[in-house]
Amino acid sequence: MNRKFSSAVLIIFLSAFFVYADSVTISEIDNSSLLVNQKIKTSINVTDNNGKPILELTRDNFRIFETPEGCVEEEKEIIDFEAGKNMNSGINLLFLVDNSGSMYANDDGSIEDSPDESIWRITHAKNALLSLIKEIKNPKDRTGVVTFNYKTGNIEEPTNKLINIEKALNEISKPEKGEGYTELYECLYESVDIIKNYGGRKIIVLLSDGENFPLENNSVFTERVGIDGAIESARKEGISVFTIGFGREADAESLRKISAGTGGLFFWASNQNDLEKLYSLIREQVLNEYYISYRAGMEAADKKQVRVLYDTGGSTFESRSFYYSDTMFGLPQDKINYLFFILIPIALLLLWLLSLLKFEKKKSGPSLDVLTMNGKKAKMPAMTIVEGRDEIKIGSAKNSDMTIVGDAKISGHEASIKKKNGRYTIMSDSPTGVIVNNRRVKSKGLRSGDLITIGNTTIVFDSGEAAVKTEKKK
Amino acid sequence: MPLSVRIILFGFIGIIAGLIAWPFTEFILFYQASFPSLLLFSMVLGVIIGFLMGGCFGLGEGIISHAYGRIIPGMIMGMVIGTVGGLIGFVIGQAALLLLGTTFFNSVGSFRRFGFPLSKALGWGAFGICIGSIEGIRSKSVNKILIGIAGGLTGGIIGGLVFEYLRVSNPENPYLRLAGLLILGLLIGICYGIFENRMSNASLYLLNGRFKGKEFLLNKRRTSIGKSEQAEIPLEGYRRVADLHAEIIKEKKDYMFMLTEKNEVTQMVTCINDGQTDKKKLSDGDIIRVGSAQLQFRTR
Repeated sequence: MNRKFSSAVLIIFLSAFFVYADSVTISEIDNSSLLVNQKIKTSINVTDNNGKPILELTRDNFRIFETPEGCVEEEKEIIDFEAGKNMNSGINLLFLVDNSGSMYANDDGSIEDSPDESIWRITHAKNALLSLIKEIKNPKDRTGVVTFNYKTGNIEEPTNKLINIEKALNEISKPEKGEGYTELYECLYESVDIIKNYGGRKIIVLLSDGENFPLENNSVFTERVGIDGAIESARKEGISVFTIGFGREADAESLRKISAGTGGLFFWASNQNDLEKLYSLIREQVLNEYYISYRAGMEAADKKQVRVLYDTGGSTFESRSFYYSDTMFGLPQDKINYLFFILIPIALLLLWLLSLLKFEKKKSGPSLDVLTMNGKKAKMPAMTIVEGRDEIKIGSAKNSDMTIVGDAKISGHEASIKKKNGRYTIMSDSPTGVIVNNRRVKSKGLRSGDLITIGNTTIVFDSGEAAVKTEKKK
Repeated sequence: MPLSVRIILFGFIGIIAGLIAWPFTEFILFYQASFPSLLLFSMVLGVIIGFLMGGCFGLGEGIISHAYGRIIPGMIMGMVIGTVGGLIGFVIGQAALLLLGTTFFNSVGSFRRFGFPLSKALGWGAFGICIGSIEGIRSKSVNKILIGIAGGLTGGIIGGLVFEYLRVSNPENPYLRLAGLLILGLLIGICYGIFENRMSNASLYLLNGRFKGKEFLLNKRRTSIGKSEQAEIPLEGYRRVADLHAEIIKEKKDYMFMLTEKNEVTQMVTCINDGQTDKKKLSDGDIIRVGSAQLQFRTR
């Protein structure tokens, strides 16, 4: 009797201590617009000593400061200020409910394994949720539920069809033997994944009556993130986690750490009445959050701390949080490395070298170049016409001076090239003549560039002259 | 020089463009804090990258084609268009960020992983379009502009995606930013070259002389042939070629050869298939003689 009394006092004292004064919390810092318009958007939760949200505040009640990591604090001008923004745009509420074995005991934990459903903690949680759902009238509000023990279950993603939530709640059942563990951290991490793709304000309300009690070698969670990983993932997505400890065995320390790390609040509850009030209160708090935006500073830093000062006219209260400032432009180095600029002359040098790639032909002797064979580029090397050579026979015969293999249309001897009067002349061996520059001729004095077509093969005659120096006109 | 080498050379120009732009990028990044706003900072970044890479691409075409008269005007045009391209790319990137951020990606994590690089890549695509069209605008050719748009957009988006992923994966590493810029430049260059190759229906192949073996893509409506540096097909070093000797005019699917400098000398040395011609519709394989140069007309 004595023990119960003192623990009750302790609980009341702790709760009172927690909600004693006005309090202000930065519940969310949204940096998604940072690179778009340099805006940081915050959601501020202001409550009185009963936890009731304080309404009708104006921007004059608030001051906001930003400290980039490693720099000095600077006050920022408030750009946007809106009260009750969430009431219009709707919020996403995900209720994460402990479904471990201990939730089937009664409220104070004295009776376990009772067949009477009505005294179970889980029943009280269900009822509290059902009564909260009746309060939700805004079709833009989405509500979801997830239970957890050794894994998540009864998942109903945020929806405005509340009948689905009722259905999911009614399907909650006692875990089998060996399932009754409490994978609090991992299931919280999973809940973040469930809610993160929904647009608008996102809240997880976590109800637990015990502590994180992992199942060894749990096949569901091959990689574990732990409490820090879960907090980190919620914070990165701007999700505030409100935590409720049900009963004395609740792990207040961890639950407080989770809510503090994500911009939420922690509450004690000991019965269904408490739960109903708390669920309703949390929702009310979120709906009445103040939306404040300001322009982020230009300093490049990984992390920036934000401090909000709330002035009641008499006293001031403050809250601190931080956000990861997007370094998507990249973080600059500590000092400029002027050595990088050496690349400029190197690049110009490369450009100059490129311009030297002339692909120019040098002066050489006359030659015959097989250009194409059977429509494709020929791979035969050019044949230089040796000075003094009297006659060059062209054909498919092996004893030709220029043997062309691979072309069925070429006969043994098609044509010969002879030097006549100092000029190379082609003469046809066949009665039909030979094609030079697409014209059928019997014989022709060859000029540089003349294209000889024999069969399916084209051959270019090159007299060997290269560049001709031209006089610059004045 | 085979036509495919042109593609490689364009890629090379792109790499050089990235090399030039990178030190300035790091410089501006270092002074990020002194800019009054993030918007201005990223705009300046885009403009500087555009100016430098545009100038490089602009003079690059002249270098590759050995049309030295085009190098300086090309560079200046490239700097101007590149600057505009940097601005446009930035604006489009920001608009895409706004759109994607507010409509598609509600999760901060997925926005960071997909939404951001995607929007920026779109911006780079727009940037690539401007860079690609430099040559077309310089030579006042609609077809070349289309080639540039296609090549620049493709290279810009792919290269931009690579650049942005490298930036996001490791924000402190300046060398990854360098790699990203090089790849961006390389891809814009190569894609431009590939589209230029694919979208040109005909070419002229030089059979003799100084530039024997060189192939010129006919992708403009009017391609000039002559000794002058202003000619699209410059025949410097060949005898009896007038400054602007002849033209090939593309009309729908047909290519017309026309002698533009009409006098006794030029008429004598201008032949198609060994017949003196003033004007003729070209067929595949026609041998065109201009002065001492012989070119083969090829349809592709």
